[in-house]
Amino acid sequence: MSKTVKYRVPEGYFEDLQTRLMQIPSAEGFRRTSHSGRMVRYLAIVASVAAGVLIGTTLAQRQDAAGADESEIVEYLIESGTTLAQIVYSMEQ
Amino acid sequence: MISEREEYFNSLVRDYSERLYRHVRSIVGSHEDADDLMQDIYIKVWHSLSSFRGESSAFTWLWRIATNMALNHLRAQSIRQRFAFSAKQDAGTVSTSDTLEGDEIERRLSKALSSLPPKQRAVFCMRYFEELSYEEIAAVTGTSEGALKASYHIAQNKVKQIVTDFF
Repeated sequence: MSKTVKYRVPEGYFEDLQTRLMQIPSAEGFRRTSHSGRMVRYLAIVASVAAGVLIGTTLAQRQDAAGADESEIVEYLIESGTTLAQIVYSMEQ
Repeated sequence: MISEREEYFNSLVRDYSERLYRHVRSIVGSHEDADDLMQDIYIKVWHSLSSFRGESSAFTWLWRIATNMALNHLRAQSIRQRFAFSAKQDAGTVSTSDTLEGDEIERRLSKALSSLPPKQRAVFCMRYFEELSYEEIAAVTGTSEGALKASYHIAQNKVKQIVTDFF
């Protein structure tokens, strides 16, 4: 029996692998093409949205405490991309 | 114009990546996991180049990084069976497995390897398939040669038993 284990790999895999690996030094924010790379990007997007909502809420609360005009708050919510349903809901609270 | 460091890194890719892939694949089993790990390994290699002082050979250094990362990967996932082998297949039929090409003996070997604990599997593959010396394997794994010989002997017996049960 041959001592060389012949693993199945996609055609051209090793050439492609070398090309990808050689991009590591120059790549900024090197991304893997695997499913785990896509998950990392998804989590980064979710984290960014969550941070934006938190900051927006904090600012809105501060403005409210300082006696901010209701129209200024609504204007901020609109500019932040908050949906109409969310604006109406927040006004009813 | 690329730096000396980048040039050296590229030479490590050209000279070792295919062989390193087979080494990693022998430990983790699946192509996807091995592919992911290869990128992680070479990212670590790139970042560690400045601290590599040539105390060991480049081969030993790469194999040490790769083996540790592959074993850590398995530990994290707590997976026992790494090699795909369908229990529904009849002996002697051509397998549709995406792991090994070849005949039934090699598929039995695949099954035997998957039954070994990860570190024992790594030692067996390095000794049997890659034909590394015990000294080299000791440098890669940080294990004594005596312990390696014992580990290999046990693994060899297990593998022989499973493969020869076929006959």
